[in-house]
Amino acid sequence: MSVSRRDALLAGGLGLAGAASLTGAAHARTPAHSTSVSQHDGLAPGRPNVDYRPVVTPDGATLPYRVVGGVKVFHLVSEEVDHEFAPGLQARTWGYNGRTHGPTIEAVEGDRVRVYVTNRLPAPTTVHWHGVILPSGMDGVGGLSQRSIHPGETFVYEWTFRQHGTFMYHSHHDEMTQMALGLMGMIVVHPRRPSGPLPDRDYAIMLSEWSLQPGASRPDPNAMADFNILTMNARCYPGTAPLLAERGERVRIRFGNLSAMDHHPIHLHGYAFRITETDGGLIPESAQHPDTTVLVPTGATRTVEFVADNPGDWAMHCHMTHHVMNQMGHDLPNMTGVNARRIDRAVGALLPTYMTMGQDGMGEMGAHLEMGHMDIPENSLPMVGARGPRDYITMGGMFTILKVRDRLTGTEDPGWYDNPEGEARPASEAELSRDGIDPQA
Amino acid sequence: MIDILLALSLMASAQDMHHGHGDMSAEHSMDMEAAQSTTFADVRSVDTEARTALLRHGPLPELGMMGMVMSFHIAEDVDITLFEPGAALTVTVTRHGEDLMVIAAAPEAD
Repeated sequence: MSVSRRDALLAGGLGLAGAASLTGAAHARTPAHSTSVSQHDGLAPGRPNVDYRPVVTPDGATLPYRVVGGVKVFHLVSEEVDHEFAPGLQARTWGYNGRTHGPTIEAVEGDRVRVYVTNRLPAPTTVHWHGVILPSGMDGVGGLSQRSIHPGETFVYEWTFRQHGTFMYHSHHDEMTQMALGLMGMIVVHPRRPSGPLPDRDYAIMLSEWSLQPGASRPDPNAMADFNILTMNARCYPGTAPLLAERGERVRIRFGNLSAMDHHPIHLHGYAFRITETDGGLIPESAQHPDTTVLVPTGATRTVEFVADNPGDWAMHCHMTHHVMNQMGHDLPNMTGVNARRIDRAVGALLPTYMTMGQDGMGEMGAHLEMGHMDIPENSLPMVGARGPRDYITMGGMFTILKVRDRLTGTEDPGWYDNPEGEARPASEAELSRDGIDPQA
Repeated sequence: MIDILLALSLMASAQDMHHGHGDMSAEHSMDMEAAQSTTFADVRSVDTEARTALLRHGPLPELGMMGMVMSFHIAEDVDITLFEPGAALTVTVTRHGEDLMVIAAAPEAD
């Protein structure tokens, strides 16, 4: 809470008797959004690697800018994109500047920004700056705050960032269609005057979901519940790049969620973190709590921080189990526990290579595919994962890996962790006997 | 969504016998060399000259293999006339180099 000099003088004049009412008045004037300076006009543009440590958008990019007359000038181009969700699965999506999702817009509190938006789509569009406190006419809601940007037109938005934090941008014209096709991106605004320890690694991850039928080339924007590609920065495992950190580094991860219909509880293995920020602003330290899963509601951002003091390969994923599956893993008949041998015999007489799956679960589907035992439609992904260092990783979708090592070489993937302290393994007869465990009992 | 999994077709081929099952380290593979598993097998097709059969077989845990449809060599001392398409057998399987070989077979008990 900020209390102005005038407030302080007033408090002195009123004495203790007036303190309670003063506190209430100050609350009423204190904005919820976060600021680190009281004056935001006329500040010099913040400089990367001088005034802030740039955020990293795994599998993504940061939108470049130029400074013109003290204003940071950005140019977004909305257009169709040939996008790869993971090796073997591509689609014609919508995005910005050749990317789906669009590149991250990064600025510093107090920066004056001017964003040109060129529409190369076949439909009108707008851009809304989600969570950003700005003048009404710059809010980007088609029909309400502006007329939509027609194909071929270039509009300009301009405002001063009067807050810091993690925000998002997305189309606000025909949202159901345009967001389902990918028109979104992250916004990161660094504090003008940072307080507290700065992160050594600062990651931004947009969560979203898609309906893309196997073999199809365009996501279906009419889907309301049947989403089969769940993504981090528009990539699904095994297409997601790992997050890296050296032991002892402070890591910040900023999640945004613009999924059409779902919230995402993101769980990080091996760590407890603190949830430090929403798109509304910093959470006061007294209100922060430790957690291992952060629920990121749709239309919101959540930021977590932790010190990477536990080396290893740590899964980080949405904990909704259908969100860590890829295509062909949803809405199937329940075959669990079914003895399909008679079916297999009957069908196998006609199709010698036929085999029913699902009686014992679906974890082996990816392995079957990998071994070339199974045909699936072109341009489709098996429902689960990829070959791991010790077995098949039976997860897909909204899943990635945090790799913490004593030392890293730049941004190079360090490979798989060796588990020097050992790992789970088959129990020996001697161990079973020693501890009185009879597996047959 | 689709019901494709119910109708999926596993594409077994002679190459399968050279693939192994992909998840075993060399060390693990050596451990498995002498291992053998017994399971059910439905015969889908047979090549008597090559002494191979395409089997829909159950899990082979001692060999680290899930149940699937794949081609097996049939050992010389195994009665290949048992391997009629449609026959239900109990088979014992072991590794033979990089291949898998049926070393015992009998009609499945009812």
